[in-house]
Amino acid sequence: MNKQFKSKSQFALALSEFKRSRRGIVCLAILGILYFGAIFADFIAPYTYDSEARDYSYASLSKVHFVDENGRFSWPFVRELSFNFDEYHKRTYVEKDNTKCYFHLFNKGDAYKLLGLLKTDRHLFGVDSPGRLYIMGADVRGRDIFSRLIYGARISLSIGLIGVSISFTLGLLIGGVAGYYGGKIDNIIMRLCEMFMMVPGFYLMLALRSAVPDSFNSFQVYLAIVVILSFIGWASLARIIRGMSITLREREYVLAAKAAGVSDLKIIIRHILPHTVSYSIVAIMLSIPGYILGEAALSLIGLGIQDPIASWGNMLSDAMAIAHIQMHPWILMPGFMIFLTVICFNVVGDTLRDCLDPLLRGEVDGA
Amino acid sequence: MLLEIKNIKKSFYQKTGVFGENRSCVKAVDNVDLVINQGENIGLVGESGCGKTTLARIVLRLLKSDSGSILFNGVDITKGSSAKLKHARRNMQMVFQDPYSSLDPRFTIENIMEEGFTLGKGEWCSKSTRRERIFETFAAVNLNRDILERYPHEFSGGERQRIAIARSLVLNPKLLILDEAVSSLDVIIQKQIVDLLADLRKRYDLTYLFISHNLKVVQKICQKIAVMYKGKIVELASADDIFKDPLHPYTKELLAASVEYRSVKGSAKIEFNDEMRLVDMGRNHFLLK
Ligand SMILES: Nc1ncnc2c1ncn2[C@@H]1O[C@H](COP(=O)(O)OP(=O)(O)OP(=O)(O)O)[C@@H](O)[C@H]1O
Ligand SMILES: [Mg+2]
Repeated sequence: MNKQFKSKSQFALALSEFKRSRRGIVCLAILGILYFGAIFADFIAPYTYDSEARDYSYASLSKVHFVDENGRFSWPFVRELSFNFDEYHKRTYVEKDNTKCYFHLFNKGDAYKLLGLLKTDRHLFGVDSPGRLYIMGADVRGRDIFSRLIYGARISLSIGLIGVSISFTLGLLIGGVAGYYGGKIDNIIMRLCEMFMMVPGFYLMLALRSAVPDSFNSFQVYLAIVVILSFIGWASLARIIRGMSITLREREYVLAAKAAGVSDLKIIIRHILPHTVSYSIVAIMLSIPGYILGEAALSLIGLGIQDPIASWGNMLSDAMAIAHIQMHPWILMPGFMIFLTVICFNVVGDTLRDCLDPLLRGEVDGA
Repeated sequence: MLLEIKNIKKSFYQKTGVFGENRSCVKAVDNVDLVINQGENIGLVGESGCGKTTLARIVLRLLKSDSGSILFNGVDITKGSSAKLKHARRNMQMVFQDPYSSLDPRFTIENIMEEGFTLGKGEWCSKSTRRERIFETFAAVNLNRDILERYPHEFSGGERQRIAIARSLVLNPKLLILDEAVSSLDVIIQKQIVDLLADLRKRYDLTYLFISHNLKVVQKICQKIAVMYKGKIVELASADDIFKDPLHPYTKELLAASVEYRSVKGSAKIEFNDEMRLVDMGRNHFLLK
């Protein structure tokens, strides 16, 4: 065999298949952008999540002017707004003449710490105060929905990842142990799983949530929600992993490792769980949306992340009244973001399944 | 005495019927006694499903037996501390039946070989000495040194089997259990591996428990042959005696079938009862009676 032939594990070969799917790549890119935005939220968002302007309650998308009052092209600017009430006591905004708040890249705004390290007050873009730039409109307190969406992504997107990693670690280990040892241990663990799976997820979530003390601050609530969500997710995975490890433990390489004196836990981690990885990756991708939706559902009914901290779920709770949606349709934006993210995770998961499928079949039925 | 197997029994229970109401029992190994002396290779032959693999796994304690004991160098490894078992496993290794499943497809050859050192990490503590030892065993089984980075799926069955043999040799075991180590290979590779085993035996002072259903291969390697049928050893004698003077009807049938491709009548009537024991018929030729 010549030297140029680079040894590749079968897994790497299967992944190179992924690159050929346009749908998969596009969705992966969208997810990449969303996560990037979430990480650099303070910089990208023109305002912080709690920067209020009560005079701009439900202000619509800002009108950016490129032409000044003399009909000449000018550097883009927005005007300050004032409001009157119409016959339904709804605010109608009008632009104040002779106010010009110019648009700037790397604008000076609220101070923050970039990545928790670098103290700065520069934002990617913004307008001079006292003008306000709303590229997706404002909410009831005049907070910028675009900024809050980006901040909300931090919570909504990270809950999926953290939740999934906790429940998968649990599910893999517990399922692996149950399948590998079999017998009584297996029996006990599986009955436990069934108990969890028996209770409808949403009610279990509510029940667990009610056990969280009221005195928790928002970060603790966030952690509690992650734990609650992952508590619901591990059981079904553990069952499947258990089934797979029952077949895998009969493989001769497992026996060979045992004969070589490798400890049981090490065998499970090194020889059994890695063979469930192609299944697990797909399962992870397809289950992340569940966590995002779970958080959204909790926050939507007011049991999750509390205002003023932004999450897509609690931003959406504004949109529970049909009248609001009719008058200020932009408050549905968080719903669209949830939709987009869920779709993307599902498509990526599906594409992964397609390209890992041959491997998956090989691993479960032998060879 | 290197290894002594005493009264080993193992049954598998299977639930049948829609609700698992019937439990059927397969006596995979039924009251087997066997002694293996240092330097005396024993062939264990018998048809498929007679319990050879099960017995081998019990010897290595990969399976728990229902009763009986296994003495390695006079130490009972079925009871007591795991230290005893570790010591025995260091000196007792196994090459598995199927070279396609005995090497983890996710591991490189290097990882696979490294795993062989698990119980000898004390002695082979540095990576370079281990590497040295790996190359030594590679040389012994005629493998190239440059395969360490590669994955098992890149090798042929014969090469894989040699890798598996190399893995089992790294810690210099005294007893090597070869479970149909050549059965899945074509005849030419089979011969290569058999010659290799004969050579390794001289070089490393190994003793083989060679499991096979192919009598001709067993004849080449083993001094003694044990014939197994339905979980029992029905005849145990030197290889020459088994071939020249088979006593048990099953042995006769096996010989006729594998050497001459002929079938003999009579074995259908072979029946056991619990009082049957291996009886010496003279010249260390034991028969189940
Ligand atoms: N884990 C198990 N569960 C149930 N029955 C088993 C199990 N392992 C083996 N058996 C049964 O025990 C008997 C002996 O099997 P074993 O694998 O030891 O045969 P063998 O002599 O090695 O056959 P072969 O030559 O085909 O490898 C068979 O009837 C088999 O069905
Ligand atoms: Mg077998």
